[in-house]
Amino acid sequence: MAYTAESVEHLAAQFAQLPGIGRKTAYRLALYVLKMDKEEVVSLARALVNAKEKIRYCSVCSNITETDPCGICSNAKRDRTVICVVEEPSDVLALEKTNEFKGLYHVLGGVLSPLDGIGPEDLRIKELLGRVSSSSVDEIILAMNPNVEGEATTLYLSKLLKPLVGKVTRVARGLPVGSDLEYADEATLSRALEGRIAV
Amino acid sequence: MIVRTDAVVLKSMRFRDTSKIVTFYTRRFGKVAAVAKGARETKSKFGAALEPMTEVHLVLYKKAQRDLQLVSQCDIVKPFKNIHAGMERMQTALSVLELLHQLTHDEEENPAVYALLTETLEAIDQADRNFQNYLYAFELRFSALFGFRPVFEHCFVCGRGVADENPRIMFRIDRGGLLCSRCADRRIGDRWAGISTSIGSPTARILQRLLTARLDSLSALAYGGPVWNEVDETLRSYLRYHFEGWRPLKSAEVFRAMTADGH
Repeated sequence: MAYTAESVEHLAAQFAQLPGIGRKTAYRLALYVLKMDKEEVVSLARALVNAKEKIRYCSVCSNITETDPCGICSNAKRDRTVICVVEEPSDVLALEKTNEFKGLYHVLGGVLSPLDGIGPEDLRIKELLGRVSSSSVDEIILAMNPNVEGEATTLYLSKLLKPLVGKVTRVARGLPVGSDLEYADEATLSRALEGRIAV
Repeated sequence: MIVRTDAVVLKSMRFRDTSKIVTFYTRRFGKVAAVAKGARETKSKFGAALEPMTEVHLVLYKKAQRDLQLVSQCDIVKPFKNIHAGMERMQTALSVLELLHQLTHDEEENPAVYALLTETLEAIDQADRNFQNYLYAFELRFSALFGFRPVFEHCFVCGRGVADENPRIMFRIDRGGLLCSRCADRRIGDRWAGISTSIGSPTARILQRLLTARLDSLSALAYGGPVWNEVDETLRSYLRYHFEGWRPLKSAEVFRAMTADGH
Protein backbone atom coordinates (compact mmCIF):
# COMPACT_ATOMS: atom_id res chain seq x y z
CA MET A 1 0.00 0.00 0.00
CA ALA A 2 1.32 3.48 -0.92
CA TYR A 3 1.56 5.80 2.08
CA THR A 4 2.94 8.86 0.29
CA ALA A 5 3.14 10.34 -3.20
CA GLU A 6 3.89 8.02 -6.11
CA SER A 7 7.24 9.71 -6.84
CA VAL A 8 8.40 9.16 -3.25
CA GLU A 9 7.30 5.52 -3.41
CA HIS A 10 9.27 5.13 -6.62
CA LEU A 11 12.38 6.75 -5.12
CA ALA A 12 12.14 4.55 -2.00
CA ALA A 13 11.79 1.47 -4.20
CA GLN A 14 14.98 2.48 -6.06
CA PHE A 15 16.92 2.92 -2.78
CA ALA A 16 15.59 -0.42 -1.54
CA GLN A 17 17.40 -2.15 -4.42
CA LEU A 18 20.77 -1.18 -2.95
CA PRO A 19 22.60 -3.73 -0.78
CA GLY A 20 21.97 -3.36 2.95
CA ILE A 21 19.01 -1.00 2.45
CA GLY A 22 15.72 -2.26 3.83
CA ARG A 23 12.27 -0.78 3.22
CA LYS A 24 12.36 1.47 6.28
CA THR A 25 15.80 2.89 5.51
CA ALA A 26 14.77 3.39 1.88
CA TYR A 27 11.85 5.58 3.00
CA ARG A 28 14.12 7.49 5.37
CA LEU A 29 16.57 8.20 2.54
CA ALA A 30 13.79 9.18 0.15
CA LEU A 31 12.37 11.64 2.70
CA TYR A 32 15.87 13.01 3.35
CA VAL A 33 16.28 13.66 -0.39
CA LEU A 34 13.09 15.74 -0.28
CA LYS A 35 14.65 17.93 2.41
CA MET A 36 17.86 18.50 0.43
CA ASP A 37 18.43 21.64 -1.72
CA LYS A 38 17.62 21.16 -5.37
CA GLU A 39 21.33 21.71 -6.29
CA GLU A 40 22.41 18.95 -3.95
CA VAL A 41 19.86 16.57 -5.41
CA VAL A 42 20.94 17.38 -8.96
CA SER A 43 24.58 16.91 -7.95
CA LEU A 44 23.77 13.51 -6.41
CA ALA A 45 21.86 12.40 -9.49
CA ARG A 46 24.70 13.62 -11.75
CA ALA A 47 27.28 11.76 -9.65
CA LEU A 48 25.30 8.53 -10.04
CA VAL A 49 24.91 8.89 -13.81
CA ASN A 50 28.53 10.05 -14.28
CA ALA A 51 29.89 7.10 -12.36
CA LYS A 52 27.80 4.69 -14.40
CA GLU A 53 28.73 6.31 -17.73
CA LYS A 54 32.42 6.97 -17.16
CA ILE A 55 33.52 3.93 -15.21
CA ARG A 56 34.87 0.99 -17.18
CA TYR A 57 37.21 -1.91 -16.56
CA CYS A 58 40.95 -1.41 -17.07
CA SER A 59 42.06 -3.48 -20.07
CA VAL A 60 45.22 -4.54 -18.18
CA CYS A 61 44.19 -5.32 -14.61
CA SER A 62 40.35 -5.29 -14.84
CA ASN A 63 40.09 -2.77 -12.00
CA ILE A 64 37.39 -0.11 -12.29
CA THR A 65 38.70 3.10 -13.87
CA GLU A 66 37.80 6.20 -15.86
CA THR A 67 40.91 6.04 -18.02
CA ASP A 68 42.25 3.00 -19.76
CA PRO A 69 44.76 1.77 -18.60
CA CYS A 70 43.92 2.71 -15.00
CA GLY A 71 45.94 5.09 -12.82
CA ILE A 72 47.84 2.22 -11.18
CA CYS A 73 48.72 0.38 -14.41
CA SER A 74 49.87 3.60 -16.13
CA ASN A 75 51.89 4.86 -13.15
CA ALA A 76 55.59 4.59 -14.09
CA LYS A 77 56.60 4.52 -10.40
CA ARG A 78 54.81 1.22 -9.69
CA ASP A 79 56.87 -1.97 -9.55
CA ARG A 80 55.91 -3.90 -12.70
CA THR A 81 57.62 -7.10 -11.61
CA VAL A 82 55.07 -7.83 -8.87
CA ILE A 83 51.36 -8.50 -9.44
CA CYS A 84 48.88 -8.88 -6.62
CA VAL A 85 45.84 -10.97 -7.60
CA VAL A 86 42.59 -10.00 -5.85
CA GLU A 87 38.93 -10.99 -6.09
CA GLU A 88 37.16 -7.63 -6.51
CA PRO A 89 37.92 -3.92 -7.13
CA SER A 90 37.03 -3.27 -3.47
CA ASP A 91 40.07 -5.39 -2.50
CA VAL A 92 42.34 -3.06 -4.53
CA LEU A 93 40.92 -0.15 -2.54
CA ALA A 94 41.59 -1.94 0.76
CA LEU A 95 45.18 -2.79 -0.19
CA GLU A 96 45.90 0.69 -1.56
CA LYS A 97 44.84 2.18 1.77
CA THR A 98 47.74 0.35 3.43
CA ASN A 99 50.28 2.29 1.32
CA GLU A 100 52.50 -0.80 1.60
CA PHE A 101 52.12 -2.36 -1.82
CA LYS A 102 53.81 -0.67 -4.76
CA GLY A 103 53.27 -3.28 -7.47
CA LEU A 104 50.41 -3.84 -9.91
CA TYR A 105 47.08 -5.62 -9.44
CA HIS A 106 44.96 -8.13 -11.28
CA VAL A 107 41.25 -8.28 -10.44
CA LEU A 108 39.72 -11.72 -11.07
CA GLY A 109 36.10 -10.58 -10.79
CA GLY A 110 35.22 -13.26 -8.22
CA VAL A 111 36.52 -16.60 -7.00
CA LEU A 112 36.09 -20.23 -7.93
CA SER A 113 32.98 -21.44 -6.16
CA PRO A 114 32.45 -25.15 -6.79
CA LEU A 115 29.17 -25.25 -4.84
CA ASP A 116 27.74 -22.39 -6.94
CA GLY A 117 29.08 -23.75 -10.22
CA ILE A 118 31.50 -20.82 -10.75
CA GLY A 119 34.49 -22.22 -12.63
CA PRO A 120 37.73 -20.88 -14.16
CA GLU A 121 36.01 -19.70 -17.36
CA ASP A 122 33.85 -17.30 -15.30
CA LEU A 123 36.91 -15.42 -13.98
CA ARG A 124 39.66 -13.33 -15.62
CA ILE A 125 42.24 -16.09 -15.32
CA LYS A 126 43.20 -16.30 -19.01
CA GLU A 127 43.93 -12.56 -18.95
CA LEU A 128 46.20 -13.06 -15.93
CA LEU A 129 48.10 -15.88 -17.62
CA GLY A 130 48.43 -13.70 -20.74
CA ARG A 131 49.88 -10.83 -18.67
CA VAL A 132 52.34 -13.08 -16.91
CA SER A 133 53.57 -14.70 -20.14
CA SER A 134 53.94 -11.43 -22.04
CA SER A 135 55.82 -9.39 -19.40
CA SER A 136 58.70 -9.97 -16.99
CA VAL A 137 56.96 -10.72 -13.69
CA ASP A 138 59.09 -11.90 -10.75
CA GLU A 139 56.39 -12.42 -8.16
CA ILE A 140 52.65 -13.08 -8.02
CA ILE A 141 50.92 -12.44 -4.70
CA LEU A 142 47.62 -14.29 -4.29
CA ALA A 143 45.38 -12.21 -2.00
CA MET A 144 42.14 -14.16 -1.89
CA ASN A 145 39.77 -14.13 1.09
CA PRO A 146 40.65 -16.85 3.64
CA ASN A 147 37.60 -19.06 3.01
CA VAL A 148 36.91 -22.27 1.06
CA GLU A 149 36.38 -20.47 -2.25
CA GLY A 150 39.54 -18.41 -1.70
CA GLU A 151 41.49 -21.56 -0.86
CA ALA A 152 40.26 -23.37 -3.98
CA THR A 153 41.21 -20.36 -6.13
CA THR A 154 44.64 -20.04 -4.50
CA LEU A 155 45.41 -23.75 -4.97
CA TYR A 156 44.28 -23.63 -8.59
CA LEU A 157 46.13 -20.43 -9.50
CA SER A 158 49.35 -21.50 -7.79
CA LYS A 159 49.31 -24.69 -9.87
CA LEU A 160 48.89 -22.67 -13.09
CA LEU A 161 51.34 -19.91 -12.21
CA LYS A 162 54.27 -21.81 -10.69
CA PRO A 163 55.65 -22.95 -14.07
CA LEU A 164 55.45 -19.35 -15.38
CA VAL A 165 56.70 -17.19 -12.48
CA GLY A 166 59.72 -17.53 -10.22
CA LYS A 167 57.87 -16.73 -7.01
CA VAL A 168 54.20 -17.33 -6.21
CA THR A 169 53.19 -16.19 -2.71
CA ARG A 170 49.97 -15.80 -0.77
CA VAL A 171 48.98 -13.26 1.89
CA ALA A 172 49.36 -14.52 5.46
CA ARG A 173 46.41 -16.04 7.31
CA GLY A 174 45.96 -16.03 11.05
CA LEU A 175 45.25 -13.69 13.94
CA PRO A 176 43.79 -10.24 13.28
CA VAL A 177 45.73 -7.36 14.86
CA GLY A 178 44.19 -6.25 18.15
CA SER A 179 42.48 -9.58 18.86
CA ASP A 180 43.06 -11.91 21.81
CA LEU A 181 44.83 -15.21 21.21
CA GLU A 182 42.67 -17.03 23.77
CA TYR A 183 39.51 -16.27 21.80
CA ALA A 184 40.86 -17.45 18.44
CA ASP A 185 39.41 -20.70 17.06
CA GLU A 186 41.52 -23.80 16.35
CA ALA A 187 41.55 -23.36 12.57
CA THR A 188 42.69 -19.73 12.73
CA LEU A 189 45.33 -20.46 15.37
CA SER A 190 46.80 -23.43 13.53
CA ARG A 191 47.07 -21.35 10.36
CA ALA A 192 48.75 -18.59 12.34
CA LEU A 193 51.26 -21.16 13.64
CA GLU A 194 51.86 -22.57 10.15
CA GLY A 195 52.52 -19.07 8.81
CA ARG A 196 54.85 -17.98 11.64
CA ILE A 197 57.90 -15.92 10.67
CA ALA A 198 61.32 -15.40 12.23
CA VAL A 199 61.70 -12.20 14.31
CA MET B 1 14.15 -21.21 22.00
CA ILE B 2 17.88 -21.74 22.46
CA VAL B 3 18.98 -25.17 21.18
CA ARG B 4 22.39 -26.86 21.03
CA THR B 5 23.53 -29.45 18.54
CA ASP B 6 26.58 -30.72 16.69
CA ALA B 7 26.59 -29.79 13.02
CA VAL B 8 28.61 -29.77 9.82
CA VAL B 9 28.73 -26.58 7.75
CA LEU B 10 27.39 -27.40 4.27
CA LYS B 11 27.31 -24.00 2.65
CA SER B 12 27.99 -20.41 3.52
CA MET B 13 26.94 -17.34 1.55
CA ARG B 14 27.27 -13.59 2.02
CA PHE B 15 24.28 -11.80 3.47
CA ARG B 16 23.99 -8.02 3.70
CA ASP B 17 27.14 -6.08 4.55
CA THR B 18 28.76 -8.20 7.23
CA SER B 19 26.63 -11.29 7.78
CA LYS B 20 26.38 -14.77 6.34
CA ILE B 21 23.59 -17.24 5.69
CA VAL B 22 24.95 -20.65 6.64
CA THR B 23 23.41 -24.05 5.90
CA PHE B 24 24.24 -26.71 8.49
CA TYR B 25 23.55 -30.42 8.61
CA THR B 26 22.84 -30.91 12.29
CA ARG B 27 22.71 -34.07 14.39
CA ARG B 28 19.43 -33.08 16.08
CA PHE B 29 17.43 -31.26 13.40
CA GLY B 30 18.82 -32.33 10.01
CA LYS B 31 19.42 -29.53 7.51
CA VAL B 32 19.01 -26.03 8.96
CA ALA B 33 19.75 -22.61 7.46
CA ALA B 34 20.64 -19.75 9.81
CA VAL B 35 21.91 -16.17 9.77
CA ALA B 36 25.24 -15.49 11.45
CA LYS B 37 25.28 -11.76 12.12
CA GLY B 38 28.60 -9.97 11.72
CA ALA B 39 30.30 -13.20 10.58
CA ARG B 40 32.32 -11.44 7.87
CA GLU B 41 33.87 -8.85 10.17
CA THR B 42 37.58 -9.35 10.87
CA LYS B 43 37.00 -9.71 14.59
CA SER B 44 33.90 -11.88 14.29
CA LYS B 45 33.40 -14.27 17.22
CA PHE B 46 32.69 -17.04 14.71
CA GLY B 47 36.21 -17.02 13.23
CA ALA B 48 36.69 -19.95 10.83
CA ALA B 49 33.80 -21.93 12.36
CA LEU B 50 31.39 -21.14 9.53
CA GLU B 51 33.54 -22.48 6.71
CA PRO B 52 32.10 -25.43 4.75
CA MET B 53 33.54 -28.86 5.67
CA THR B 54 33.93 -27.93 9.35
CA GLU B 55 32.29 -29.84 12.21
CA VAL B 56 31.02 -27.46 14.88
CA HIS B 57 29.12 -27.26 18.09
CA LEU B 58 26.22 -24.96 17.32
CA VAL B 59 23.96 -22.86 19.51
CA LEU B 60 20.89 -21.67 17.62
CA TYR B 61 18.12 -19.29 18.48
CA LYS B 62 15.40 -21.39 16.85
CA LYS B 63 11.77 -20.59 16.14
CA ALA B 64 9.47 -23.19 14.61
CA GLN B 65 7.60 -20.74 12.39
CA ARG B 66 10.60 -19.31 10.53
CA ASP B 67 12.77 -20.79 7.77
CA LEU B 68 15.93 -18.91 8.64
CA GLN B 69 17.22 -19.37 12.20
CA LEU B 70 19.78 -17.26 14.07
CA VAL B 71 23.27 -18.48 15.02
CA SER B 72 24.03 -17.55 18.60
CA GLN B 73 27.34 -19.36 19.01
CA CYS B 74 29.44 -21.68 16.87
CA ASP B 75 32.62 -23.44 18.04
CA ILE B 76 34.83 -25.72 16.00
CA VAL B 77 34.82 -29.41 16.96
CA LYS B 78 36.89 -30.66 13.99
CA PRO B 79 38.32 -28.32 11.37
CA PHE B 80 39.29 -31.15 8.92
CA LYS B 81 42.43 -29.19 8.14
CA ASN B 82 43.83 -31.56 5.52
CA ILE B 83 40.68 -31.30 3.44
CA HIS B 84 41.17 -27.55 3.13
CA ALA B 85 44.79 -27.95 2.10
CA GLY B 86 44.54 -30.15 -1.00
CA MET B 87 42.54 -29.78 -4.21
CA GLU B 88 41.50 -33.46 -4.62
CA ARG B 89 40.41 -33.85 -1.01
CA MET B 90 38.49 -30.57 -1.24
CA GLN B 91 36.80 -31.69 -4.45
CA THR B 92 35.57 -34.95 -2.90
CA ALA B 93 34.42 -33.36 0.35
CA LEU B 94 32.58 -30.52 -1.44
CA SER B 95 30.86 -33.06 -3.69
CA VAL B 96 29.72 -35.00 -0.61
CA LEU B 97 28.33 -31.79 0.93
CA GLU B 98 26.61 -30.75 -2.31
CA LEU B 99 25.00 -34.18 -2.69
CA LEU B 100 23.74 -34.13 0.89
CA HIS B 101 22.41 -30.57 0.47
CA GLN B 102 20.66 -31.61 -2.73
CA LEU B 103 19.04 -34.81 -1.48
CA THR B 104 17.86 -33.82 2.00
CA HIS B 105 14.94 -31.65 3.02
CA ASP B 106 15.00 -28.97 5.72
CA GLU B 107 14.63 -30.08 9.33
CA GLU B 108 14.39 -33.83 8.76
CA GLU B 109 16.34 -35.32 11.63
CA ASN B 110 18.51 -38.32 10.72
CA PRO B 111 21.39 -39.02 13.15
CA ALA B 112 22.59 -41.94 10.99
CA VAL B 113 23.13 -39.58 8.04
CA TYR B 114 24.96 -37.19 10.36
CA ALA B 115 27.22 -40.01 11.54
CA LEU B 116 27.89 -41.09 7.93
CA LEU B 117 28.74 -37.50 6.98
CA THR B 118 31.23 -36.94 9.79
CA GLU B 119 32.83 -40.38 9.32
CA THR B 120 33.21 -39.69 5.59
CA LEU B 121 34.79 -36.26 6.17
CA GLU B 122 37.14 -37.75 8.77
CA ALA B 123 38.16 -40.50 6.32
CA ILE B 124 38.76 -37.99 3.49
CA ASP B 125 40.83 -35.86 5.89
CA GLN B 126 43.02 -38.85 6.77
CA ALA B 127 43.23 -40.49 3.32
CA ASP B 128 46.28 -40.05 1.11
CA ARG B 129 44.97 -41.23 -2.30
CA ASN B 130 41.94 -42.49 -4.27
CA PHE B 131 39.73 -39.79 -2.77
CA GLN B 132 36.91 -40.35 -5.28
CA ASN B 133 36.15 -43.67 -3.52
CA TYR B 134 34.81 -41.68 -0.58
CA LEU B 135 32.18 -39.93 -2.70
CA TYR B 136 31.10 -43.26 -4.19
CA ALA B 137 31.01 -44.91 -0.75
CA PHE B 138 28.96 -41.99 0.59
CA GLU B 139 26.49 -42.26 -2.31
CA LEU B 140 25.97 -45.99 -1.72
CA ARG B 141 25.70 -45.77 2.06
CA PHE B 142 23.45 -42.70 1.88
CA SER B 143 21.13 -44.63 -0.47
CA ALA B 144 21.12 -47.55 1.99
CA LEU B 145 20.10 -45.25 4.86
CA PHE B 146 17.09 -44.09 2.84
CA GLY B 147 15.96 -47.65 2.08
CA PHE B 148 17.69 -48.13 -1.28
CA ARG B 149 20.54 -50.44 -0.28
CA PRO B 150 21.74 -52.10 -3.47
CA VAL B 151 22.71 -55.80 -3.50
CA PHE B 152 25.96 -56.69 -5.23
CA GLU B 153 26.94 -60.02 -3.65
CA HIS B 154 24.19 -62.30 -5.02
CA CYS B 155 21.25 -62.48 -7.41
CA PHE B 156 18.32 -60.58 -5.94
CA VAL B 157 15.82 -63.12 -7.35
CA CYS B 158 17.28 -66.54 -6.47
CA GLY B 159 20.02 -65.55 -4.02
CA ARG B 160 22.71 -67.47 -5.99
CA GLY B 161 26.23 -66.04 -5.85
CA VAL B 162 27.31 -64.04 -8.88
CA ALA B 163 31.09 -64.10 -8.33
CA ASP B 164 31.60 -66.60 -11.15
CA GLU B 165 29.33 -64.78 -13.61
CA ASN B 166 31.16 -63.89 -16.76
CA PRO B 167 31.72 -61.48 -18.41
CA ARG B 168 28.75 -59.18 -17.76
CA ILE B 169 26.07 -59.19 -15.08
CA MET B 170 22.72 -57.47 -15.29
CA PHE B 171 22.16 -54.81 -12.62
CA ARG B 172 18.55 -53.80 -12.14
CA ILE B 173 18.69 -50.10 -11.26
CA ASP B 174 15.02 -50.01 -10.27
CA ARG B 175 15.33 -53.05 -7.97
CA GLY B 176 18.82 -52.20 -6.80
CA GLY B 177 20.24 -55.67 -7.35
CA LEU B 178 22.19 -58.01 -9.62
CA LEU B 179 20.44 -60.63 -11.68
CA CYS B 180 22.32 -63.90 -12.32
CA SER B 181 22.48 -65.24 -15.88
CA ARG B 182 20.09 -68.10 -15.05
CA CYS B 183 17.39 -65.79 -13.75
CA ALA B 184 18.02 -63.36 -16.57
CA ASP B 185 17.72 -66.23 -19.11
CA ARG B 186 14.51 -67.52 -17.55
CA ARG B 187 13.27 -63.98 -17.78
CA ILE B 188 12.16 -64.24 -14.17
CA GLY B 189 13.09 -60.64 -13.78
CA ASP B 190 10.42 -59.59 -16.25
CA ARG B 191 7.94 -59.61 -13.40
CA TRP B 192 9.69 -56.38 -12.44
CA ALA B 193 10.36 -55.03 -15.91
CA GLY B 194 12.28 -51.82 -15.51
CA ILE B 195 15.59 -50.09 -15.99
CA SER B 196 18.76 -52.14 -16.04
CA THR B 197 22.39 -51.88 -17.03
CA SER B 198 25.09 -54.47 -17.48
CA ILE B 199 28.26 -54.32 -15.41
CA GLY B 200 31.42 -56.41 -15.27
CA SER B 201 32.04 -58.67 -12.27
CA PRO B 202 35.09 -56.55 -11.19
CA THR B 203 32.75 -53.53 -11.06
CA ALA B 204 30.28 -55.48 -8.92
CA ARG B 205 33.08 -56.43 -6.50
CA ILE B 206 34.29 -52.82 -6.27
CA LEU B 207 30.75 -51.55 -5.67
CA GLN B 208 30.32 -54.15 -2.92
CA ARG B 209 33.54 -53.02 -1.23
CA LEU B 210 32.56 -49.35 -1.55
CA LEU B 211 29.27 -50.21 0.15
CA THR B 212 30.56 -52.37 2.99
CA ALA B 213 34.31 -51.96 3.58
CA ARG B 214 35.68 -49.86 6.45
CA LEU B 215 35.92 -46.25 5.26
CA ASP B 216 39.55 -45.92 6.29
CA SER B 217 40.47 -48.87 4.02
CA LEU B 218 39.11 -47.24 0.85
CA SER B 219 42.24 -45.20 0.29
CA ALA B 220 43.97 -48.44 -0.73
CA LEU B 221 41.20 -49.45 -3.12
CA ALA B 222 42.53 -48.77 -6.64
CA TYR B 223 41.01 -49.83 -9.94
CA GLY B 224 41.44 -49.02 -13.61
CA GLY B 225 39.74 -46.50 -15.87
CA PRO B 226 37.10 -48.82 -17.43
CA VAL B 227 35.91 -50.05 -13.99
CA TRP B 228 36.03 -46.47 -12.67
CA ASN B 229 33.80 -45.30 -15.55
CA GLU B 230 31.37 -48.14 -14.94
CA VAL B 231 31.19 -47.49 -11.18
CA ASP B 232 30.64 -43.78 -11.86
CA GLU B 233 27.95 -44.34 -14.49
CA THR B 234 26.13 -47.02 -12.45
CA LEU B 235 25.96 -44.76 -9.40
CA ARG B 236 24.79 -41.75 -11.45
CA SER B 237 21.95 -43.85 -12.93
CA TYR B 238 21.11 -45.34 -9.53
CA LEU B 239 20.85 -41.98 -7.76
CA ARG B 240 18.98 -40.37 -10.66
CA TYR B 241 16.39 -43.15 -10.54
CA HIS B 242 15.85 -43.31 -6.78
CA PHE B 243 16.23 -39.67 -5.67
CA GLU B 244 13.91 -37.14 -7.21
CA GLY B 245 16.09 -34.14 -6.35
CA TRP B 246 19.29 -35.58 -7.83
CA ARG B 247 21.09 -33.39 -10.36
CA PRO B 248 24.64 -33.59 -11.75
CA LEU B 249 26.92 -32.02 -9.13
CA LYS B 250 28.03 -28.45 -9.87
CA SER B 251 31.19 -28.92 -7.83
CA ALA B 252 32.23 -31.96 -9.89
CA GLU B 253 31.77 -29.96 -13.09
CA VAL B 254 33.83 -27.03 -11.79
CA PHE B 255 36.64 -29.30 -10.63
CA ARG B 256 36.59 -31.09 -14.00
CA ALA B 257 37.10 -27.70 -15.71
CA MET B 258 39.87 -26.85 -13.24
CA THR B 259 41.67 -30.14 -13.89
CA ALA B 260 41.31 -29.74 -17.66
CA ASP B 261 42.94 -26.27 -17.50
CA GLY B 262 45.43 -27.08 -14.81
CA HIS B 263 47.18 -30.02 -16.46
